[in-house]
Amino acid sequence: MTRVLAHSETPLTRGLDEYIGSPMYAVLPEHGMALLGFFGLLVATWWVRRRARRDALRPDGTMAAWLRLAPEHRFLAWLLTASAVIHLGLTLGHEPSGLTLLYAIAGVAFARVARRLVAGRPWRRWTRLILVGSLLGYAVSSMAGGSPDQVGMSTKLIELTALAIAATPLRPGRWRRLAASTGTVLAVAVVGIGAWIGALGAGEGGHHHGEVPPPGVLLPVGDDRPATAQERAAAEALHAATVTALSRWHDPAAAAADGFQTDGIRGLDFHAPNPRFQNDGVVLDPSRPEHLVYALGPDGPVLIGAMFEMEGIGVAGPAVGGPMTVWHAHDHICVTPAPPSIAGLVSPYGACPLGAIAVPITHEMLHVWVVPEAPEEFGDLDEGWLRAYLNGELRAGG
Amino acid sequence: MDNDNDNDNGLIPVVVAVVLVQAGIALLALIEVILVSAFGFGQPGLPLLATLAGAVTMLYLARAVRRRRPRARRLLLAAEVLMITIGVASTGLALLMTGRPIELVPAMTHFVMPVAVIWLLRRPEVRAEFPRRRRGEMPAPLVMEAS
Repeated sequence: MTRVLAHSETPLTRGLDEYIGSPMYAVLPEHGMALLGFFGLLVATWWVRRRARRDALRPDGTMAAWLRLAPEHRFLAWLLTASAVIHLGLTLGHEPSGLTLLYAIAGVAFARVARRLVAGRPWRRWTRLILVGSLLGYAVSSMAGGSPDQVGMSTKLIELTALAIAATPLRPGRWRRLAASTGTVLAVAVVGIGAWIGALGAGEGGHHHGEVPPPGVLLPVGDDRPATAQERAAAEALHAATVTALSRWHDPAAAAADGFQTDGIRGLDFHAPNPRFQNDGVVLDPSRPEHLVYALGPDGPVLIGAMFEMEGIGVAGPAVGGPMTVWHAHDHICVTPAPPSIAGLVSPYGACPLGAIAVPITHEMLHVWVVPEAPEEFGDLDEGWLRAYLNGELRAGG
Repeated sequence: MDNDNDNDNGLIPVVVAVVLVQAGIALLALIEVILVSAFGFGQPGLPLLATLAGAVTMLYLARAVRRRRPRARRLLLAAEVLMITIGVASTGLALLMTGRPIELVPAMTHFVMPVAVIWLLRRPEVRAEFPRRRRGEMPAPLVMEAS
């Protein structure tokens, strides 16, 4: 750990390297060899084609046989070889384990079916089987806690494209084609859903990660230590000041009169921004919070807290309470320009919903919760507790 | 022989394969928008409709390209250019805000796949598979596929 979070008189700035984010948007160090192997294959392909143009390939050799294939089969053989190279690279990048053995088996299997295809031997059944096995294996291992990363997902994109070609029916027929197309689209969705589950579950630690934030959240690198007495007192003072300052905005109409955008309150954490406070050069002032947070309960909107926001990307928030008041930023969020609104997160396939654009990083922000008896005063508020509070279950029970 | 394919030859199956994967990616994005709106985040109207339209369009285009529909090639070219435009905007924003380009998977989705499709669609042998209909010309009669 490299940085102690502490209050600073002058604003600190943080580079991307000083945040911890979801591994889904990064290349894990263990997968570097696989990536290198893939780029090596690209260079090798360019070299083979160059030699072929010069007529310098052995006419009875594998490369010449590959170039004589029909275009779709040539492309399929290349995709299978790419997957083989990446899996063998993964074997080299990992410590010996059961998973490493599976990578090696998959690498050899992909290489063998690519060879069969080039050699003109029957390949269809084996290729489909190995591709489906590899894709399903990835989805299952993701769901079991292994977060995807950029190398894993790009390999799956390669394999899904290969599956789409290999699944093309040999004989014509509307239903066969429909089944093949539907199968491909569903395979893309299943692998993607598995990757989402893996990425969201990786927060609890998993395949070589330890604790990491969920996708879309960036936390500053910091010391895992208890707060000092001074930090605890500062955090408590900030919380008390926020509770007092926010009391005048329990009614959304009063908040709207002061410039907060409270129209359309819905859900459990509706953020009502105040454009005036967002650009006033004042930071962490309880009387000028950049956002109010409302939850829609059975009896209408309930003010549950405030969100303070820094001005400027990478500008570190003053962590007055040390580890009690850790600021966070968001990354890879999908935003629609008109009206400005969050549409989701960048998917494991690197795409946003249509009409939204990927915003790579946001300002730093800190939530302060003012709901009485809330289990957390800063950071994330437990959703189950909030639901129970809104439904009156906690008040009824004392 | 497994390498014989008597109904689809050449580069069209590769185009169809890539477009099907793109349709799957759009379908996953659609599921995400539905879930995001179900949990009460954001204003999902525009992205929900646009993503639904995008997924349906890609599925339609995969089918239309396979059947060599006259307008399918141009429509698919336009769709791929749109995807590259989104990629350029995302890359520009990433460079501007973080000083780094987009990651490997977004680069594949927004650049490698669309550029591959455009490159294939612009090849003479693929162009030749899509008959150009002149103004006032009647469409070719439908031929039933053997099943």
